[in-house]
Amino acid sequence: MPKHDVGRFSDASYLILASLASGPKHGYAMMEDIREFSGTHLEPGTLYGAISRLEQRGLIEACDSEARRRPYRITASGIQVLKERVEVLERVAHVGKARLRTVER
Amino acid sequence: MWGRQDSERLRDKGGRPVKTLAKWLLKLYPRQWRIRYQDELTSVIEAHRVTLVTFVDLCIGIIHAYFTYPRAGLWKFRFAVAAIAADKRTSQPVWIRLSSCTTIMAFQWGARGCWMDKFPCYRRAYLHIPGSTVRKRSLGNLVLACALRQWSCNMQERIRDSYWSVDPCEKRKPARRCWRLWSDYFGPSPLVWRGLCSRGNLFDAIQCNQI
Repeated sequence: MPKHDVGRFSDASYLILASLASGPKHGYAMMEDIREFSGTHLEPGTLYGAISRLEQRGLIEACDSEARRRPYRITASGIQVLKERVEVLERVAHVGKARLRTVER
Repeated sequence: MWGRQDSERLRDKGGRPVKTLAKWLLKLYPRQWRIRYQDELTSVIEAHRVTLVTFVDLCIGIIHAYFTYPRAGLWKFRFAVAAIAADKRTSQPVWIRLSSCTTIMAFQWGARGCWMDKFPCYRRAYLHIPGSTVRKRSLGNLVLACALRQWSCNMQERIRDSYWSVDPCEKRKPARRCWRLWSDYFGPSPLVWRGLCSRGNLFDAIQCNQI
């Protein structure tokens, strides 16, 4: 298994990392942000399953807060993982676009 | 006139039983997981629009947490179930609601489709064909299911009086208590399922143009 394999919640995990890249957020704010930029509607169970896994892997960390809604922030490892993932997606998008152009001809 | 607080209060009032049920479901998560995340997840559920998908998602999350969260083995699930069963304030009404939802879902599954789509056939079968065998059998099954559900609802009083009392005679008979507890909680379920699964009777007949 790769070092930063985020497992079952892979899509939700990367969405959470992308959401936290713009600043610390609590769970509900992450759900709203993800729905706004990706159109994906995450349910609470999936969200906190992914948060739990990301926290165990050290990709995000909880901020100190006394409120019930505890904010999270992305760590340096999380930023690195997100960059690698975005590069892979960019390559896939680039190849997909090029091949679609040949198909459309 | 309708400020933000009024609309939020109405939305919360309308979804409160469903959200209460969803928050009750959090008790099935591993203890270590709950210590860490329960408050946060509770606040998210309170602000979220809870649907059937939410319940299914929480159930999947519970199973995943037992397999993946540190110090949370699947064998510890029995402690969560025992704690819930011992909580007399929530276990009985929640059990009744869960069994009602399960029976309704079983009936929908038995109907093989959306209830609203089948409503015209449903209405036709039950209102316009008074003497048909299909109607009698299906109605009989539904009546049986409703009667059994009512019987299981009446068990609340028995359970409260006999199981949670401080009667020393009852406390000295754990096997008998366990048997009665099991029969009251789980006994009606197969009969309710059998009663509501009328798929072989009503909708096959409709599809074969027998009605």
